[in-house]
Amino acid sequence: MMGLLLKNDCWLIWPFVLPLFGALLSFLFKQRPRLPGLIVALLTTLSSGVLAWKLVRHGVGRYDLGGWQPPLGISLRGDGPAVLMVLMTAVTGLAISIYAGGYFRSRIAKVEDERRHIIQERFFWPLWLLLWGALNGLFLSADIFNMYITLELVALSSVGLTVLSGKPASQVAGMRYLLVSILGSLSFLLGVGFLYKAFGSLDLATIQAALSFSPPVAMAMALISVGLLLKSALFPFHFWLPPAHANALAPVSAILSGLVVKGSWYLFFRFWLGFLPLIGDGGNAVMAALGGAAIIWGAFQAFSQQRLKMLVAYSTVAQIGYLFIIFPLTGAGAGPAASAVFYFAISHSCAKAAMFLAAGTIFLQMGHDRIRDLAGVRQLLPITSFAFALGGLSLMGLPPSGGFIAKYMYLSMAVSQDRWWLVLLIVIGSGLTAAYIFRAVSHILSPKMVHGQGQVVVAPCMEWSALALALVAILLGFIAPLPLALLGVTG
Amino acid sequence: MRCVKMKGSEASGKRRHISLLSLLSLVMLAGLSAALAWAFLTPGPDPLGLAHRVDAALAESGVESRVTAVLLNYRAYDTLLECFVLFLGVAIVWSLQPSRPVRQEPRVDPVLSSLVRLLVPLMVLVGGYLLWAGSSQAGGAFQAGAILGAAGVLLILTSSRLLSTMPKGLLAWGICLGLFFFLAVAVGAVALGGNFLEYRRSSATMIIIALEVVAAFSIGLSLAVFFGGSRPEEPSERTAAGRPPHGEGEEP
Repeated sequence: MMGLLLKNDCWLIWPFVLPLFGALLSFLFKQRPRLPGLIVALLTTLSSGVLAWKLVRHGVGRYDLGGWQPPLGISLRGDGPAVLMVLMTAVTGLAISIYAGGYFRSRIAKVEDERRHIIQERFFWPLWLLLWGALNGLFLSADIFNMYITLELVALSSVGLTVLSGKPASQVAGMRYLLVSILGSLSFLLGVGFLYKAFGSLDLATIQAALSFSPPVAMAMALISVGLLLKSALFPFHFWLPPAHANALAPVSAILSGLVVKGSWYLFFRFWLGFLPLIGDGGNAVMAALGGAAIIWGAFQAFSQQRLKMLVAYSTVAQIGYLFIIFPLTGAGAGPAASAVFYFAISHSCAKAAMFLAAGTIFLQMGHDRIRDLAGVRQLLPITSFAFALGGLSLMGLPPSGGFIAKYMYLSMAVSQDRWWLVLLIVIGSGLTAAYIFRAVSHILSPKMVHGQGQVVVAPCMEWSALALALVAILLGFIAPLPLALLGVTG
Repeated sequence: MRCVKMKGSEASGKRRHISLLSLLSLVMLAGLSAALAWAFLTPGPDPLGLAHRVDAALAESGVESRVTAVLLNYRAYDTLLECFVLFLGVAIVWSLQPSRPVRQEPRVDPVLSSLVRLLVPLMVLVGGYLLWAGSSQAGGAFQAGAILGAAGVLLILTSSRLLSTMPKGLLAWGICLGLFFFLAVAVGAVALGGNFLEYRRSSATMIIIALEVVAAFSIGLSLAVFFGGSRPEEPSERTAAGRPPHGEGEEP
């Protein structure tokens, strides 16, 4: 019986079934939700790792849920990109879970407002595990209506996590996030309806094989694209992101910026690659223009922020741009472009989550995150300061880091396809990133005599988990062949 | 616009700004509607859809109603996730800072309470009927759950402390029960050699009806909790770390 549960193709279901179970358990064990939360986080990470190993060994996995073949039933599809995203979620998610355990323990240990922190932790674990499961379900889904439901679960649990801090600023931001997110979901759903009307199927592969131009299909493409762009916060739609990400609790900011944004982007990428024959260069140029605007605008905004978490949040706005300027480069074959952009996505996920975790530790220790008053953090939190700087290194794209490998692939493709304006954009973008990272890091690393012990005793696991994630972002610069081999398993 | 007018002449510049904005959004809405109508009304490819496949597999699904077959057999995974959406709603409502009960003092209104005494058993009966009817015609877990939820709302209206005086944890277990059962059925199918959520043909009817009953119970409870608002008060919560509570409390 256990053998049947661990069969080859069964590994596709565990990365979302385990967190769903865990969400219920941590909801019910409200006295100590941390224990089931951490155990399930560990198990989910393990199952994601096994899934990746099975992918390399046995190729792309398919799984018909309920035993019904695709047009009638729903199927899961674990190909290279999907499993790589599951693995990215697992690595980042495990570090965030460990951080969250220490974060809530440190905050509960502060005598004031202890009860509020206990309640925050009690609901953090169910919401976060549910979000994790929904993200994995989204990455593995092959059915467009099922994608809508997972997208909805991701959006709702993200909003719940955003408002968990209870601060008025986060509640206002969470409300705006909710409205934008629902608008995006409904737009996506309407597009799914048009696709079903046109093709009589909800299976993405079937639809993409039969794709031909007609008014309903054009409308579906427009609706799905706009809906997913809203959720991915690409440049003109980015307005909701910085306040929502910056005002949330520290582990939540890392979850939102590192993982959630990638969910809707991943769907966009899959849909857009399928639509490409119908869209042509015009659509790709629009995406690249918006992405370029995001890189420049986000970097300028990040540079002018006064608060560390707002700086990191605007940095996310800028980095999202890189996920979209890839589209003009797909002309010479989607494979290399997909390698570059997925590599960028996973290194950004680790680096950004590490930076948000570090910023959260600094906030907790100092009681504020005003950049100009951060001198002396280096003495109080040496590991955290180092983690923040390392994460920044990967964002800038300095060698040897995952960000460097990704940008190198971008540049070599842009050069070989004679797209010099893209080369220029990436170089300028990296320069601007360096500017705002240096601005933050120069304050964090500047020495100053510190009086007193700071606000709270920071748990060691908070510092080390942020550092581990930052080191993974750097390590990605050395082990590039492994993720790329995983990514290459398609078909 | 109207509310701006009511404010008087103090902000005529603002008014012009707002009317321009609403005009712009009207134009955009009209454009969107026109595009949707164009896409919907122009003849495109007109495939068969899935209706014929649903009918062809109906004999194997264990139920006679197409809708139930789709919801609880062919696409039961979607339904499982939809149930998690409701659970998520409960978790978020409870995580927000506690609101006051819907009615502060249970004012015993004789008309309301006798009406509720008559209605609630009837509503439970109707919910049960909808569940049973779901296997062959319109009906099913969500409809029955909605009726049960409405009955719960009526009960909350007549005794406002109903949710808060419920035994500790019972409410949470009740809400999770349907999800646990759903997941257990899904994983149990894998353990018995099938796929996730795959039912044996011989037992499909029984499993679907059992799923619907348990799911309807949890759905009804969740919907009533949405109306009730705040999280149930638990004495253990206050002393979880062995210290008296600080800061804002739930009780005034």
